[in-house]
Amino acid sequence: MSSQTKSLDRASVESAIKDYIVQANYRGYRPDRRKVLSVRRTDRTAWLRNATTPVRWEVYYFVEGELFPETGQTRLAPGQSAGELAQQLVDKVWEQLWIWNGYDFTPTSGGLNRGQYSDEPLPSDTATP
Amino acid sequence: MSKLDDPRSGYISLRFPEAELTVDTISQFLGELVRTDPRNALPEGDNVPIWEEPVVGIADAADPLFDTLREPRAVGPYHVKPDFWLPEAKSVISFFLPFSKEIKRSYERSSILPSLEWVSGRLNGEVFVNVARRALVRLLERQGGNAIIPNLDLRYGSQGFIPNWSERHVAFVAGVGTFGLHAGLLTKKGAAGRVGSVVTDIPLPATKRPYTEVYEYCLWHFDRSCHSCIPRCPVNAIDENGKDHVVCTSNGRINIRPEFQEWGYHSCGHCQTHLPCSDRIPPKIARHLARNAGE
Repeated sequence: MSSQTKSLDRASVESAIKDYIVQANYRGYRPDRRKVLSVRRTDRTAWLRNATTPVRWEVYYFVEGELFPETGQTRLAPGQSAGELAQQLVDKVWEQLWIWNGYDFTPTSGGLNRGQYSDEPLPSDTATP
Repeated sequence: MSKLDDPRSGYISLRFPEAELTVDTISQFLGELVRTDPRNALPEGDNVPIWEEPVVGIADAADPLFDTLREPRAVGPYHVKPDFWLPEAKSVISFFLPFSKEIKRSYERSSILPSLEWVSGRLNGEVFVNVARRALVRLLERQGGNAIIPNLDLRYGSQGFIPNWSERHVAFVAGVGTFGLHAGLLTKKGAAGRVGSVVTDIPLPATKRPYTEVYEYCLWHFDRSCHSCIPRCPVNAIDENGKDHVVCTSNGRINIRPEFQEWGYHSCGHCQTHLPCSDRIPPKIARHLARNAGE
């Protein structure tokens, strides 16, 4: 990790939230408490999943309540597109989510988005293993 | 009932009843989180739970001990006070999450290495500590307050092994536990666990610390009758003066990391397991405290 800093991929977050909004606003407004934004460590991209036992190297954030704490935030206004609302919502939480995710994937107290996982090769300038 | 309406599913703050915030209701809230949030599970094997119900304490943000933490004999001047994180800070909530029985049982007493469950629980469990920190923020916001998680803040940092916000020291101030010879936090649910905290501008009733001394729950400091953590450390990082953090972390890097390379884990836990303080306040001290409380 030290040779290449990774951080949360915004396009995939917006895409996943847009997908959620489309579903939650199908046949009226029915927010789905089960849905989580899942982010994987390898490339920090995000998907929509149902909440479940974690799999290795993924972290989850509940869409309703955790990412967007206020009831009804994911409801589409008349004439509003899912993409527009997704962009607005992600704008509001982006900085916080970016930090949360960075620390969730920071394996030591070395600092945000830094530190090395045990299964990653050591950087070439490391003196001792 | 539609699956979408299942009241048992979803994020904790959407299903936990409104209540006055006290150390008891916050304990219930975090207990419910630990019992019901699907993220409290190892990603490997039988997906055993990582954490059990926490020990919670609340400190007054103006507690003079936060000044004491800035003295060189404590953490040092690099450590900041609650109002650094939140100018109108009134309270600090601290919690200790004890490792589950399943994870502690997996740690073999005689092995020089930790178990897979332990090393996974240490890393993946810290992700859940973040879940708990965030859940507290949402709970406090629901009550109209603001809250900051120092350890999930861009201003959080460290100078070597000295952080600008020490979860263990903050836990001591909040009445969660005392220190041990091994430098870990000792609580009524033992030493095997992790700590988190949140700073808020909501004034909450502070927890009365059930101790007065920094090492009050440690048998070594009580009557020198125990020094089990000294020989238990596989790299001799602990002696009668405390723990050498440089030697301690070298064990993870040199010995544990290569063993768990394919899994991606590297944390030791010898000084939190198979000790008289691992699961509880040592009985001799607990009896002493009970006698004093009864006098």
